[in-house]
Amino acid sequence: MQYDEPYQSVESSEKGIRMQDGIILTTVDEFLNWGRKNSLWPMTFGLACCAIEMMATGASKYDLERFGCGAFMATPRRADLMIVAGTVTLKMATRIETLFSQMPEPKYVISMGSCANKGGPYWQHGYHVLKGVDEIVPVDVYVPGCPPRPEALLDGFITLQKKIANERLLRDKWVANV
Amino acid sequence: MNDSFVTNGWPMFSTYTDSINKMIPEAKAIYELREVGDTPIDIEAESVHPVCQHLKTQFGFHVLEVITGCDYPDRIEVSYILANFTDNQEVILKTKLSRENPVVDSVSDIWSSANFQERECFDMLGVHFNNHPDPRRILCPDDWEGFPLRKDYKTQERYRHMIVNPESKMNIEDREFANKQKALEAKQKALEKTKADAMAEPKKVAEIVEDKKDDQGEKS
Amino acid sequence: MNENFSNQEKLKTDLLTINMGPQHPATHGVLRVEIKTDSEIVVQAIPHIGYLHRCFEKHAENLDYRGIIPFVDRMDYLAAMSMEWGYVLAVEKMLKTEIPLRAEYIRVLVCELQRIASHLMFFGTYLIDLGAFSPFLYAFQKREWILRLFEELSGARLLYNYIWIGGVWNDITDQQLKGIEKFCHEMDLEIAKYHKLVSGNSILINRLKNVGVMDQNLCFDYGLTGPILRAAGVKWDLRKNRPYSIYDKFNFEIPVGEGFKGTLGDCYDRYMVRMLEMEESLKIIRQCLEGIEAGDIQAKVAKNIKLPAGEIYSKSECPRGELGYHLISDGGKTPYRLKIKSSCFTHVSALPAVAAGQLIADFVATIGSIDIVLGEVDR
Repeated sequence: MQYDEPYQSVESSEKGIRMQDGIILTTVDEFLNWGRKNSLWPMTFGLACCAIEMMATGASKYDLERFGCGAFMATPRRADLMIVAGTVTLKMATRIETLFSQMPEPKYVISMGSCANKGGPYWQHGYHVLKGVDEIVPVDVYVPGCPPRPEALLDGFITLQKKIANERLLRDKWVANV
Repeated sequence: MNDSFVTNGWPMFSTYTDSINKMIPEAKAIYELREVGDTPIDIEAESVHPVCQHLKTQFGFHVLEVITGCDYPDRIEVSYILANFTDNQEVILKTKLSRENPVVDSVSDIWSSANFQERECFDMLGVHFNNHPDPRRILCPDDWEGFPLRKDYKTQERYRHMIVNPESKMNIEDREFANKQKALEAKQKALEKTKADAMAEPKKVAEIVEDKKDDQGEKS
Repeated sequence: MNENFSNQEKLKTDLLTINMGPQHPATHGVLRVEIKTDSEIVVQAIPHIGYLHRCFEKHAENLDYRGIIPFVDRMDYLAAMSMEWGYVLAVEKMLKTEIPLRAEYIRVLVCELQRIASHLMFFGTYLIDLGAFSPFLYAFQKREWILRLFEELSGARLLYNYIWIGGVWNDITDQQLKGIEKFCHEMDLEIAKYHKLVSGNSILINRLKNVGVMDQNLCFDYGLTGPILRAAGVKWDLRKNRPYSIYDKFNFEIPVGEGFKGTLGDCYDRYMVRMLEMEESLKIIRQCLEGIEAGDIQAKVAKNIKLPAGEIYSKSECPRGELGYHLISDGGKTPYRLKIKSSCFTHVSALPAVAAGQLIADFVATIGSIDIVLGEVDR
């Protein structure tokens, strides 16, 4: 009968191993990067209008949870990713520095929206607006838009995942084939 | 556009000013009906508190909507906009303060909504309110220098360790390029105009000659 | 026993200062509230704002009248159409322009749909604050339909730049109008579903009744307007008491709080008033769809708009309260001074008055029920 063996053996075409034995051959870098990029937990850091689009990305139509970042952590101590969504003012900038330093390594920053990229529409006469969050925090991915569509944020997120997939453990972090 | 509010009863300016001048003569309330927009009632700065108290008790203006300020070259004008929801009335009071020392009494003991409004007026324009329960900045940080909505305000270069307007993000080359292009186009237009005038001059001479011939023709 | 008693008397207690900081999941943006508590009971709450101060009024002094419209809708980003309409009303009153009837109908249609979208957002996020996650997903499903329609009309999902001086920018097609009719029918069923799922829930009622009572005197003293004032029992709505545009042609009710489950003016009343307002907006939309006719959508306005010298204070009814624009013009191309009276700024000032004596969890429910948007508070 068909059900003699409890599991059907699956031949992996790439490496020719039998998956049923529970053995995978890979490099440490790839394994760590696979774990990190598929479970990025963002910190709830919505400042202004872009925060609403971030919430819409997390809702059911443009689901962000299928990329692994379902758990929006309120505390920075448990978060991997800070999506700076909205205008950064000078009063808030000191707090952003504190929050970024409270996040444990490895940590990543996505700058979402025109205000976080370069000051946005307030660049000309904004005396209280910080012209871009990269003045205080190192940014990995910039997502343009005012506000960016949820698909644009997802595209930025996937770009960050590709960037993480190219990290190297023993060499410099960002020196890799992108 | 519907103006049913106007027909229901436009703010009763003369009633208010007469009553104010009767009870508080040093207020010197006057108004001048304007064709466009709203008409404010001007009062003296020292009598702001008694006038507001009188309007609240006598005419039932139980809601203070907003306290704004505006900076002019020789004065600062502070406006108080009061509303009465039961009788559907609204009035704008205006006072003039000097630019060097803008001081006025606080009305936060009459309406509690004045608390935040006066703090914002102080933060943006530098108007000091006497007897305010919490006189500090509200929108800008506590160690901010200057009053932003004054016309002579210059953005400060640095705030703590951050540069407010970094050169690389101010897009100066694009702005200067646009201005240069405009200047070039204006020069070219002026050149073309002078050329066109030069071309037109022989025509003008010919016209003058023809006119002379016609005159001679008529004469003859 | 006596020894234990004397030991307890020697214990010294003090108030604990907790910072509900600018980054917090339940403050709806960057609001910082400094709470002094005695164990779990709030004794004093001091709000600190200004973390989103984007210098809008300085921009308004340097931009021409048309160029201010995109900045205006970034203030209350959840009700952008209402903000634009309020500003455009002030400018048009000074210019004394006649708006074509079709443009007025489209404006009312779009603003009432925006009101429904804003109240859906309130519904979703308020219930997240209280601990329920599924209503957020239901609310956003319906909101996505409205945003899709706005995207077809104006090109953007959230910040539209659609209502211009003199009319609207883009016309609405018959197919879109039919879609709105279908949406109204579906929305009725949805609201019935929300009432069944949430409004009768005993956990919600026990959390919200008799919490954060804002009665009529407090509302007048602090200048609170909009759903908060209506939940306190005062029937004041600018669409009925000071009708602007074509609101006097429509037949709709003003829902007022009655102490549905607890005291008059508590959090449950404010929640219920917003749910009932959604149903009234659907009535207005249906009447709009019947009355709209073909015509122009834009009046003739000069290319370089220059307002005559003078000032005006014009008010309109936003989903969060009354929005006022105090515009002072000196006859030039840009306003001399544009001051926005935002309802949320005054609502935040009332928080210290209702905070004393509540539990911290009740305080979170109160903040959520006044429905503030920090973009409008800080401008």
